[in-house]
Amino acid sequence: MKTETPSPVGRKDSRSTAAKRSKARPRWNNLVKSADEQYELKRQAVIAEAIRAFGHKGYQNTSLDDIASRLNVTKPALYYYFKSKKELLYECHNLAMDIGDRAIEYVESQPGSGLEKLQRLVEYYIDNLTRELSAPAILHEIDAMRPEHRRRILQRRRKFDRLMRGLVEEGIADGTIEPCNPKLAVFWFMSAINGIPRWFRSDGELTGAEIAKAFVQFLVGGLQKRK
Amino acid sequence: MAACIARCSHRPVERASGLTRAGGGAKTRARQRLSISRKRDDARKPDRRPWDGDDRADLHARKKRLILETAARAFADRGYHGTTLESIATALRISKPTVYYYVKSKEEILFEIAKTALDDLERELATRVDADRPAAARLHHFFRAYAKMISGDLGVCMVLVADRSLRPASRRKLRAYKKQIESRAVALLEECIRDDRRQAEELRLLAYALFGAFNGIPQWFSPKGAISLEKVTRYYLRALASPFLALAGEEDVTYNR
Repeated sequence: MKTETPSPVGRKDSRSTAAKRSKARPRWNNLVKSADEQYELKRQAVIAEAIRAFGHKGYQNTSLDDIASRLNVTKPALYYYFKSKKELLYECHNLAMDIGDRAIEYVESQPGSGLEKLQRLVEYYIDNLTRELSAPAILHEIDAMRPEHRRRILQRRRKFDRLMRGLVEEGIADGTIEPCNPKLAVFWFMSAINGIPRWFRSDGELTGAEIAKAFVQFLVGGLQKRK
Repeated sequence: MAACIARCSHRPVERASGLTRAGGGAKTRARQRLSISRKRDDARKPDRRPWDGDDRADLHARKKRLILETAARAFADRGYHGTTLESIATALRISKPTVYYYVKSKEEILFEIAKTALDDLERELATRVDADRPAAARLHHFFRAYAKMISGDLGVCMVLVADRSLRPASRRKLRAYKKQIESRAVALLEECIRDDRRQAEELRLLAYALFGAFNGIPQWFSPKGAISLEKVTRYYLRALASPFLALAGEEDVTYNR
């Protein structure tokens, strides 16, 4: 699992022994999380906290010390999970794209018209981003990444955009969406949605679900076939 | 050459024409051009010195704006942290200390960029406003001006850079300015959608959705592209606002589909 993650040699060894052992007979009778699972959980916790911090203060204004102190760990502890702040940013982007991919998968697995599929996609996406992560807040932080990481993320983004345009085209074809330029359509509603973390506060007057409902209404109202 | 530098630094106003010239050119030629323009000025207004009254304040403002615009392009291209004051000074062929004459710090430049962009918008909104026009038409005017602002050099920098690179104190200050603009949009929407069923909260969300959509424009829009800014504005407003405007029966006033 995550072999590309740099980790001290000793750690790697102990993990592989743990894996071997768990194959033979689970330690602690599987009542507690394995070392691998714990490592991954902690790594995810760092990513989630980083997204929040980057989204709130901006990537350049956030130090690894900030993230560490929010998690009540030391900065060296973070280096156990990530080589650098740049790599952490890359993982944040990956997580944001994972949310997008899962949303597409979820939508494609269910029948429905193009408009219905888009509606479900947006509901799922907003729900995810207001509930825990302000992933879109880091979407602009693309230049700070290393070139090969940037390329990979941009590739994933283009794929996601194409899939969304495909859904709009599907809706136009089946008569549920008013004929329009699919590119512009995706631009306006994704920009509107990605703007949410700029003003959304989890302790504000409106809950994430209420906002999701309103934005889905904007989306449907704006796209659906006019009478 | 040393004499030239000394001369220039003692007469900052004279360097204005040097600032506005676009690109390269030998120093001597530049000097010639400077003296020519000075002569022409003198001929027109014999009893006026460059440092007299309004001209000077005006020049100061223009030079400051040049610094802001140059910086805005650099910040948007290379990132705020990837841009040095030195490189901004070099691009304008002035010295770094001269930059400090106009702004205190790099952060102040960024803040001023955003503030100037918003001031420009305010001015644009104030000049061509006609209270007699239907609210929907004024809403259209508002977002046309907004789209124009955020696709300009200063606006692009405000949307893409300022929010995340400013320090918290300046960010709060900027947010207060933005709030004013925002409440104007909400007021316009309220006027458009005279419908009691719509909660104020919902209108605010609609305004946020509109601003979010428009703020995304700098990320993909190119003036050389196939779609004009006016077309984008019309399409965005039609998609987001017209389902609400239709309720008030004002849709056709602005949008002839």
